[in-house]
Amino acid sequence: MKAFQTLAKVCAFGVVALTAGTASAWQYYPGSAFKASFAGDVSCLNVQSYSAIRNDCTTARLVTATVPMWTVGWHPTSVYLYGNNTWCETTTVNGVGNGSNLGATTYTLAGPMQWQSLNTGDRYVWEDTALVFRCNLQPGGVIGGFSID
Amino acid sequence: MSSRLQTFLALFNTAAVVGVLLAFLGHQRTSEQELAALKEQVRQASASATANQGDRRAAAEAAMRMWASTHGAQNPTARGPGPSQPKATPPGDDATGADAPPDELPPTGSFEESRTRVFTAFANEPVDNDWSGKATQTLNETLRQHLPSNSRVKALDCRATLCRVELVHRSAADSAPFMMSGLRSWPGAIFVASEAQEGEDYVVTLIAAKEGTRPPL
Repeated sequence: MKAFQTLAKVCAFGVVALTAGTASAWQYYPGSAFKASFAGDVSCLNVQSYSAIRNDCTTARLVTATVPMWTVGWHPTSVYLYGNNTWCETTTVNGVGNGSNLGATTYTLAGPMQWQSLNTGDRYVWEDTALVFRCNLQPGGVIGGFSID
Repeated sequence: MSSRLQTFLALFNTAAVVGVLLAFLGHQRTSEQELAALKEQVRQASASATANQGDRRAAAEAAMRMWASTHGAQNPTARGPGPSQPKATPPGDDATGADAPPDELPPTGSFEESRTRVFTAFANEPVDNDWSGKATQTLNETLRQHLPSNSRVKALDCRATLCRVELVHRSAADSAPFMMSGLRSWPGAIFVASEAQEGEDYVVTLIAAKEGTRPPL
């Protein structure tokens, strides 16, 4: 009986722990989750290695990734990329796709192209909305991944 | 012979029972350890969640206090619809937040509640002449450069950390491309408080926050 009670407690705590973990889960997405914002740019974007995305055209291309969100509140966002002349920004969007909380544009460091993490700011998420990551990816630039906390 | 067999069986049974008991105790100890670890994880998760809830509750209470200090003496019957029926056009400086009595501001965050909080915070913000002047200039330049020719600025007001901008477009089709790229030179976050068709005008109201600050959503 006691063993059964212990097992029940473990299961209950497991459910609570998993629920609590989900509520503030850090999410990571690979760069290949980005898509060309415009149909004409699809051929510019190719997957590099397993999951990064690279702009193989000679000019910058706008790419977008969208993540449905369920946890209301502020969420820090960041993008990890290779470049020196790329910008990214994040936006909370509503049900008709309009921006609600627009983040400031964040630019890569100048100098030689290098892997760097762009802090794209904290975005407020309302119930059943989504976060959009948007980057203007330079020629030869690579997005390795992006994250939401 | 049968006596020996009985003794052997009795010993074997005893050993088996002891073995099962030891296995059970070992399992029990492992379960207790796992339970303790899970309890610790839950405690940490709860502490984190409580801290977040505490921040949000404090923000909501601050907004409510600001509301009470500004509107506490007003007749409740003179107020407009509640948060579930927000006005398309946000209230101005003299009537900010008039559509949300303080006792109707729950701590959870719907878009309408965020809008009420931001407008309330904006209305209660003092004017920082230095930042206000610079922000107004930056926004004016940005809007002049990027606003479609058929659109216009209806209102622009900057305080200490927030600016309220009201734009009038001829249609939503003019607004969307501007919103996608026209405000990229503003260094802070922007809250799009409302987009509404008002007669022939498509009116967009924005709150632009100071660089490095969060609008009080």
